[in-house]
Amino acid sequence: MTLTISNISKSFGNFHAIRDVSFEVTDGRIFGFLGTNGAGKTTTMRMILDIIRQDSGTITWNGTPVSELPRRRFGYLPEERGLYPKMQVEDQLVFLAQLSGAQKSTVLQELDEWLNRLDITENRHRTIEQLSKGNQQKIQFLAAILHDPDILVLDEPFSGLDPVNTEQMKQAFLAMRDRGKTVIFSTHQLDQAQELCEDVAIIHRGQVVANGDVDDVRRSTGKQHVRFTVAGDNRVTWLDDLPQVQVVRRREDYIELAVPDDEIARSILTAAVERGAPVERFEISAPSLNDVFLSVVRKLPEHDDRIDTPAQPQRTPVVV
Amino acid sequence: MFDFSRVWLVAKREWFTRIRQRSFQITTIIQLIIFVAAASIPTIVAAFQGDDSEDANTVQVLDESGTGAFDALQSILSVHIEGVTDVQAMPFDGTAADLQAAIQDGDADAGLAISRDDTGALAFAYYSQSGESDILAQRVFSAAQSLNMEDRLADLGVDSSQFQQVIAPPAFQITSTEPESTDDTSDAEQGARYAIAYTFAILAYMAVMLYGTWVAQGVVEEKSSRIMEIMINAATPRDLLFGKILGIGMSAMTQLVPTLLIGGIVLSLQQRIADALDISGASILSIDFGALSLESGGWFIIYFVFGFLLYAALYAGVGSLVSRQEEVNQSIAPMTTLVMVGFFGAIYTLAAPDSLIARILSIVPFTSTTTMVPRVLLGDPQPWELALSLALLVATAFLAIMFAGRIYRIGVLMYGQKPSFRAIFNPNVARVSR
Repeated sequence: MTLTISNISKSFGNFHAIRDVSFEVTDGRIFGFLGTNGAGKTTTMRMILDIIRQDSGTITWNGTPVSELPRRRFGYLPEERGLYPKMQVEDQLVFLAQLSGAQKSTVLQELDEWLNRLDITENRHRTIEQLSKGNQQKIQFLAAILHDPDILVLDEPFSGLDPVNTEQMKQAFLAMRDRGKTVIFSTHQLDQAQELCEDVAIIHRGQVVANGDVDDVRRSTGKQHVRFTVAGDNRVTWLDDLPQVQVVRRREDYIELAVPDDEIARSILTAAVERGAPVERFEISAPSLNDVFLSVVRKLPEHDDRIDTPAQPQRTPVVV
Repeated sequence: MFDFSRVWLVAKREWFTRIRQRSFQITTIIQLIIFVAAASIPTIVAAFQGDDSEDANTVQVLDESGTGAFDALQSILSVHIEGVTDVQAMPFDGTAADLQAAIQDGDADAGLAISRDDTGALAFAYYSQSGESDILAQRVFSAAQSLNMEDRLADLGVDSSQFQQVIAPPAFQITSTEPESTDDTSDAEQGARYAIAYTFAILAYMAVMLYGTWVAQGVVEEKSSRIMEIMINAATPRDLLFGKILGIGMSAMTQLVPTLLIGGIVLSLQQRIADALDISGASILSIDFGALSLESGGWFIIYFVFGFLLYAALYAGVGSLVSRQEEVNQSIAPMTTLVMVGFFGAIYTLAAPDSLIARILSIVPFTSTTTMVPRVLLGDPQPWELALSLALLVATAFLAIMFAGRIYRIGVLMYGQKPSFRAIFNPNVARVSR
């Protein structure tokens, strides 16, 4: 089963929020929808939910337009918290699940399990406004899943969560994936997406600039990255003299380098041995999603209207 | 059209949430106290006035006529008239100047000096602090007139018993040409009908204003808390809107029905309370709800319910056009004007229930809410007028809910932007039904 977004566009007045966006989301996989603030993530998600309608293009689930699917097939976590502040957790969640068409008894059973899993059982009879921001976000997540939807659309689910809550939320995502649900979530924290997603689409200024399997997207720049640490020297100035080696960033814990291939990468190690530098870390990997994103965005022309001309590659993990 | 299980779910939540609020409970109790107090105040006032009336108005009389005019005057003034304070005449010893001084000091309410002029006719001088021709002065004047007549006729040889025959009142019967007015209770019943019609107009006006504002505020609250985003994914805006209006309507009933019931019972018991406590007074407000027949009671409820639905839908519509609570009052200003027109229309209808203006107002949907029930109670609306008025009201209420559902849908999700008319009518902008 597949959610297919093909060639959708949407304008608000003179502002082209989404231009000819296409990608696919396969069921049972976690899909990350990435981009900076204002890139068009929320607008696209609202169109998937048929809360707003695209000006052109289609969004289908197994060939059926999403506007014709029953509402309870979708679970939605909006970017800003949307709950009744003075309502108790249980009442609130049962009300929302019933509104989506679920049975009260089933919901209560599920609720027990989930409150336990997310470690918030003691908040069951508290009102929303009494909860911490992180716990409110967990309730918001439960509001999206308790009516047993097939497609989960989660807009910035990790915002405002501490590391412990983030970890619990990730586990919850995996649990939903294991139940065969399709999970689409948006984020601008790309390291989170890299950890959790199987597929991603990167959107920038209303256009998809990279899309596909995470590993393929990471390899799409055609470069390898090397993480390199020399004990007692966090500058390692001689790296600048090596041919075809580009310093991406110097961090306190390691230096990140971009190289065309593994052979050049190994030449760094050789150079270090020649200089007698005590190497503590040497790690070759594909560039992170974050670096892919930055390199893609830098290559794009500045003005929006010029983006219209080149045809967008679809589904293939290629960077424009 | 509507998914009633969802509508009911939303309405139930709205109702439970509202009636559990402390502010709701307190206002309900205050409302009840005010209503009961308002019904009882005339009786309480009468109770205090009743104490006053035991001290009858006093008139000190200086009789220099020499023909026992004081006794005759006293017998005339001592006649008790229902609803008017008794008058007690007391003899005064001294001169006219002494009497004037005594009245100035407040020894009595008024003073009367009786003397004879050169022709032997009676002459009266009346003294009071105000010098105005009040009820007391009029009673004393008519007594003086009667006294004067008897005195002059006595000069012409007519004795007292003959005089009584002359002034005996003639047979004088008042018959109205209106058939129902022959009924003894018609005046009281008409008064009760008027009071009920007036109460309805005020009640409908206040309910629409107060609970309509609740609807607008509730919509904005959900919009600003973003709960709408998930709600609108689960149900259609129409269901959500109708559920919200229904829930607030149920909350309104929770507040109004006990108030009206208890207030009505207290009101209908006023005469009995007054009798039991031996209080009398013309101003006691006692309404016999027998005047409110089953039929007019039915119209009362129908117009109240559909009028509320119509206005609540409009309030929800304007509420969804703004994003912040502070903007609500400004946005509902045109609605307030519309409600005021309906209210003043009702006041006009009370005075002239079957006039052309009242007939038009009672058929036009927005004003029929407040004007048709007064017409049913006080006037004589034709069956076709009732049918047309009701059909228009129900149809308009239905259309208003449909239309408000659209504005709601679009307004709720367009943060920061004013929904254009094109967006409201364009079916493709957003999911409205299903």
